[in-house]
Amino acid sequence: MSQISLVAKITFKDCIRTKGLYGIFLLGIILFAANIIFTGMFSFEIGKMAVDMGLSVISFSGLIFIFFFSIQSFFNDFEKKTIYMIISRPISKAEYIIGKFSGLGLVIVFSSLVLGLCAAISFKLSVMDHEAYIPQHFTWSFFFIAILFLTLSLLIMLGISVLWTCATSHQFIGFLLSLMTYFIGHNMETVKNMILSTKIFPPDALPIKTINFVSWILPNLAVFDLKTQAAYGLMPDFVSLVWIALYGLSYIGLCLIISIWIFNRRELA
Amino acid sequence: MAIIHFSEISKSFPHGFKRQLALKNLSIEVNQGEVFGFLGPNGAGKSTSIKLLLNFIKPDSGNIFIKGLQVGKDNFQNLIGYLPETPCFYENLTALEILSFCGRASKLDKKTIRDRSFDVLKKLNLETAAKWQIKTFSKGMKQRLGIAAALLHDPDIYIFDEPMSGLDPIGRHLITDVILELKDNKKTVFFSTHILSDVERLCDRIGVLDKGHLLFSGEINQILNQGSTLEDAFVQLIKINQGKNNVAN
Amino acid sequence: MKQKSFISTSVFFVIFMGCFITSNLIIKGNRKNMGASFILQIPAIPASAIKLITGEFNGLMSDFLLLQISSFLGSNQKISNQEWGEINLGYQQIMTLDPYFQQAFIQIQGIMAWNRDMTPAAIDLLKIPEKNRPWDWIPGYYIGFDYYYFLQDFEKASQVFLKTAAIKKAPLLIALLGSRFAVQGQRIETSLLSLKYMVDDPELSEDSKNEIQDRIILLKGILILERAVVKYKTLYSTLPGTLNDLIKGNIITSLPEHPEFMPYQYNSQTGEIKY
Repeated sequence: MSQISLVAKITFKDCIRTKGLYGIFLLGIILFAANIIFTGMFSFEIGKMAVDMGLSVISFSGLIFIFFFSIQSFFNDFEKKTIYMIISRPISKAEYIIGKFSGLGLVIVFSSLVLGLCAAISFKLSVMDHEAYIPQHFTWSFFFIAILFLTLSLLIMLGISVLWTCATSHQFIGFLLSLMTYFIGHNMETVKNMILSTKIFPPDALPIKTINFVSWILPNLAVFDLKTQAAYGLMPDFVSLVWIALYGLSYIGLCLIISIWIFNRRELA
Repeated sequence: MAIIHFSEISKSFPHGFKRQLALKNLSIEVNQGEVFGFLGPNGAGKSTSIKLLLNFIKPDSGNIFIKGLQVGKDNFQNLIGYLPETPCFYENLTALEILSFCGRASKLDKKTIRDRSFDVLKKLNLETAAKWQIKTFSKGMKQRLGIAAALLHDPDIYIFDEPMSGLDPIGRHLITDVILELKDNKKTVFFSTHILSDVERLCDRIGVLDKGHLLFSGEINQILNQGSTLEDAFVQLIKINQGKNNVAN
Repeated sequence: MKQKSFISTSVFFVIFMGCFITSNLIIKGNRKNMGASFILQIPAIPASAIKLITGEFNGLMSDFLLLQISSFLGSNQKISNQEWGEINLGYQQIMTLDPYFQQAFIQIQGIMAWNRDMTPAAIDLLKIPEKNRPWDWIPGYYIGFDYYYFLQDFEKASQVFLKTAAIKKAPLLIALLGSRFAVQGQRIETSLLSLKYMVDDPELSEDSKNEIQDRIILLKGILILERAVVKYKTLYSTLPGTLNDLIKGNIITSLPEHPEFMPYQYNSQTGEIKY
């Protein structure tokens, strides 16, 4: 466990000092400022708009970090042979993978915290003179729960990226596969419901079966998207939230274990 | 007992639809306390041998033992200090942070790490750069930091992959002094190089590798039967081997 | 050592897999009960600003928005006024992103226009493809139909139909409709003509076809009653007091069928029949 925390610590330190990361934070701050300006252009739904925008910025920043920093961080380790510094020590490949994931995950959690606070402040400022436009059932607790689940979905994407990175030999392929997983993960539920509702295919048709199969392999990221519910204060029950969290954590665990199995067989030539 | 023992190691890599042989039936023994130089032209298989030794890659056949522990099955990393061919570190960390990581990974306590870090950095003329970020380091500084990381936990076995590579004469002199000091302290050093002058100064025994085949393993004065100088002997060995390969083809 | 490591990761794999399967099954069950596209997720961005967000992915975004709306409508849930507002915004965004989007404007006509409160909004939306598809007579036809059928604005309907009739390959019917609406008093026959044409449109949903069939029955019934009232007045020099007087006066043998099983509304002062 201490070896994992060592790798996590140096990964976190290395990432957090990257100047590019400051660009993401700057982007977040600019978008939050824009949030305040945008909401002023509306005559209704100001509260919903502010929450939508704030949570979307957190999601967007997290995704940029995963697609452009995390994947690159792994491939840099392989290509520049930085990994030799680590696994020539008494640190197993499994500890490296979990440590690396933990370090990058900590960066995501940290950025969610910072941007979450910015989102809360920009929401407060946006609706300051328009208290009537705050949705009736809006609560701060659910706002932060939505951020928590948003962060969990980013960690799932990170786990997926780690898996694709271990499985592929080229950075760009790893990036494409992660991006594809993100899009399918967010839209497969909508597509399935669309196909079922229009009744074009019978329930046992091949497209339905394919989507069902895919839903067991790729993560259903739509369940973690609580932005709209947070905007209107439509909090699901506690038990549902627990199952969703368990689903996310178990999926991350599976991704890491499969990544370890693949990586153990990978040669660092 | 040999402290490092390669036993009939073979390794090939995929090359298109075929496999290219990198090492064939390599058997080497390195004894405790000796400095063993691993020579060969570029592409001979020296780095491959070292990667196999460190379990970065797996052999197609054969076994490797370090102090009786089988590489790939037993944990041996705490017994060795390794310097890669081109040491790379996380660019945004400082030298002290890198050494702290290396020391903690090798289960040293904080006080020991702190004291030894300053000692090794001083030994390698890096004390002024202790708190600089790695991205500000030159190639030579990174090389020396790599050696500092290998020295930190004071292992009995050192494995250096081309330690003089890219260093200026002062840097090379410094590394040579370090290896001689290790030799005096009865440490075992296994290093690969193609700079023969260093080999003559430092090594007790050498191995000569060419195209994956071990051409010679033994003391330097034994190889001098092939030529008047080490360089002549080395070149002669390589030519004979390449002549044999041409006949075989 | 290696074997121990493999065993421990395998144990963790089994544990995580168990958690994953259980939680996934429960979540799927919960979300199935919620029905298809439970929450409409149209971004609350003015249509004029949406292009700023989508950049070069206008078409993709318009497809996605239409998918959202279709999925929501497909769930057959009762749509509130607020949701109609969101649907309207969604269609505005779609038409801004892709003013040529045929499936979108067919859906606007098929779904939105038939909600009486949304007909003016539907007409505004249909004007976008009407302007951007000068080769296509369908948007103009839809606009004209909506003006006369839902809004009873025959003058505007006539204008639109006559303008649309000028498009190459536009059916002759449109010109006929345009000219007929210019003449008052012949609107029921005209309506029957256009409705009979519309019911054969393969793009129309089953529900819409059924409603049009009902409308045809209604209009035929009104036509019969209107003609009967005129005949009664001619014979008895007065308007009938009730519709049953038409039966008593041997003008008709029975009242025409009402598809919703409701009585026809008759104004004995003016002789007007409504449904």
